[in-house]
Amino acid sequence: MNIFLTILAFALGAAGGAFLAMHLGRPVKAGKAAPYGKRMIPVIIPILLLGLVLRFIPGMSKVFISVLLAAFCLVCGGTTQGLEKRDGKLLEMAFVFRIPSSARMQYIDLPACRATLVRSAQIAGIVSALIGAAGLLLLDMKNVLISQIMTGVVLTAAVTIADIVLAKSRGKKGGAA
Amino acid sequence: MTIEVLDVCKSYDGKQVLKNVNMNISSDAVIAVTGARGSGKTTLIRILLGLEKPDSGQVNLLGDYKYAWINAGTVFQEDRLCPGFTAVENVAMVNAKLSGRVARQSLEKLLPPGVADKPVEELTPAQRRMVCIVRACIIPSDVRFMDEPFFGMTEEEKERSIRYIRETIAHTPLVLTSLPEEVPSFCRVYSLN
Repeated sequence: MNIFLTILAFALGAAGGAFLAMHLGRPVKAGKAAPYGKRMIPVIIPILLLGLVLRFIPGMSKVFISVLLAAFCLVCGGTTQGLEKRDGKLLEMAFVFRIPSSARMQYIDLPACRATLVRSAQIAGIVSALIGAAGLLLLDMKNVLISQIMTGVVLTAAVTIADIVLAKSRGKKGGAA
Repeated sequence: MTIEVLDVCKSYDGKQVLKNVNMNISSDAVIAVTGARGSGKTTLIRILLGLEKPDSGQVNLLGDYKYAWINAGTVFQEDRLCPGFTAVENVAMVNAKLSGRVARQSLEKLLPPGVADKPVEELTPAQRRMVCIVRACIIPSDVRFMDEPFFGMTEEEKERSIRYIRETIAHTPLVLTSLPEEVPSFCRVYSLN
């Protein structure tokens, strides 16, 4: 019964997180619901993996690996979404000039996916806390529940602050001229 | 190195844009491809760059040439500058060995003082074209392609840009596109009409 409840909790958590990430990261236009199915695949596979992890790994490792997988999937998905929005003309320019991949990442890839990456990282922070808290509850370690919730808050705040600092530093760089 | 264009044809949606285009771009060529809007100037440049394939005909690289692609400094029809980055960053990004200082020095030959360090979206359209010209000229290339490089420039800005191009890439073949009435005097004309 515990395993069933755990799998169900993670299934709901990961699906909810991915759904939230998709909505915040990429506004869905009318008549464009089809990509939802495609985008759910990276969520469903980790859920199955999580089920296996929870079945065979003991103790705190369950919580650790669960959080790791969830955060990875969310951030990876957010980044992918951002990269889909890259300007094709800039990519063509990078191809013609044979721009090094590091420069392409800095000048084309990162600006395109920054917003979705930050949002997915913020969501991953919250989801990590939820998963951690749920895992600890299942492991009957209620005494560290508060610290899990605080971890989520700190993770989300850290991502937000990092984003603000980066945006300000870019603004200063541009404004200095 | 010579670029040989043989009987190149290209159509879009049943409309023929290029028909049996033949051209030789040798090492000392300075060619202006002219024609009205929609006559296929940009399409020809894109085919030469390998971004599009001709429906029929060939583009051959003749001579002792070590790459499978044309190593070309290019000014596109649109600016294609990375928004949020300065003119210096946009120029320096095309070559890892190129320092910001060298990029700034080159830009200051064309742009007014202080403009090189502004984000490109704060520049005027003519200034952005100048950034594109510097970006195309600053890297070592076997040939330069410039698609309407002087679009939106005043006569004075155009003169300055032409002087910069001739000084910087004097010994590199240059193919630029232009409306028939705006062809620079130093170019051999190839009309697509």
